[in-house]
Amino acid sequence: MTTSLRRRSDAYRHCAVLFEEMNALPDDDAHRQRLRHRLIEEHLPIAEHIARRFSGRGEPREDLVQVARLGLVNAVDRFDPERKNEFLSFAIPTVMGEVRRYFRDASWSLRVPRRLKELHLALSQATTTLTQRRGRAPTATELAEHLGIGVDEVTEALIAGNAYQTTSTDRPVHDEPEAALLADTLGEEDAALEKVENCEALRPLLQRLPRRERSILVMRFFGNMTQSAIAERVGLSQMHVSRLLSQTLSTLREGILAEGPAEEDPE
Amino acid sequence: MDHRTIASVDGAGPARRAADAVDLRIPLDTELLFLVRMVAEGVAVRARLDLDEIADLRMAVDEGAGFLFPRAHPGTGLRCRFEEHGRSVSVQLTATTAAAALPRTGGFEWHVLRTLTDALTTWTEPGPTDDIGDTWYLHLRFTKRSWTGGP
Repeated sequence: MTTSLRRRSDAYRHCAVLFEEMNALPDDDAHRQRLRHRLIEEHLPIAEHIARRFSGRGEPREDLVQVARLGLVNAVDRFDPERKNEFLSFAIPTVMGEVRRYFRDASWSLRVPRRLKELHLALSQATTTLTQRRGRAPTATELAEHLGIGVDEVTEALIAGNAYQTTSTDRPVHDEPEAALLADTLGEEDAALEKVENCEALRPLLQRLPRRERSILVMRFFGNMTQSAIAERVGLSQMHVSRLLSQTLSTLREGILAEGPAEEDPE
Repeated sequence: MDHRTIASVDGAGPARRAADAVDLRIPLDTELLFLVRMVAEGVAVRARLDLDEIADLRMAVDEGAGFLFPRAHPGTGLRCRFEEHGRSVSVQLTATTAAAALPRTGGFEWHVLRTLTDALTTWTEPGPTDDIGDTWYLHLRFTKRSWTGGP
């Protein structure tokens, strides 16, 4: 499936020089940041293209595009021009890996009727629209009015949509390294953790989380941000953030249990 | 975060009439927790919570069960009571334990529950005496209310 992308590689030939120029500059150089942004923007069509390849499989298209773009940012940050490889041959598998992982995380673990899946897609899009319009997450009543359907239908679809979040006990923790997309939020973590008893047991578990999951967790539970606010900050949908948070909490619960039961207060 | 006990939220305390509540009882099986989340979500939609608040409530159900399951006596069930009052939802989860001690409430799981909810409390009361000896009911109750102005 990568042949048509490869054919386009001539269109990106000029980027090789930009990568070399960028990597020669120190991390905090303003010009380096400009080059990074330019490289990300130049390659955005790649992300769109890959997202399109995966569309029609039951996940909202705009979510797929966002996931693919995140993958692209990772690829730009991790690409090492000294390895003499073309950027595209590194970026395409990286972006596809990100999208595949999203599908793996999102797979419906209960059988849900097709009608409800489609309705769930419509709800996801309506949620994004209404959140942008009002600056907060909508209620089911607002969604029903927006889509011209009954509140009971919205309720049913929301519940069906969330059914695929059934917490699996065998879900693997992501093992791929994450780029420093949200490094700015991680500094707050240490100070915030001090508020929690037994934080020494928690720290190694947090360290093992992928950076993005850890950042989202910190923003929700130590930064007190709503899921919609986090979604806007990291460029994912509210439903995607909700899904990642549930998974992360489940991973932590299992980890904490494995460390042995907490002592009870004698009374 | 503004944190209060249940008694100060909409005046809704544990003594609410059972006839107004939705009750559910499941075995101690994490695979069945989706049923509790579904009921909580349905009640939350009725109470017109917004999607962020509903997602928080769903996570609180998971976290609450994670708090109770390791302490529950094997072979007993989890009792769940859902109440809608105005624009808020209360969920009361009850496990049967063999120890009267109140769980420690300063850890991460408690912090998560407190962040996700507007009121949170836990208490024990004597349960029946059966073949395992004296038992206690360990209750966890939390309330999520809507703060948005939407319909």
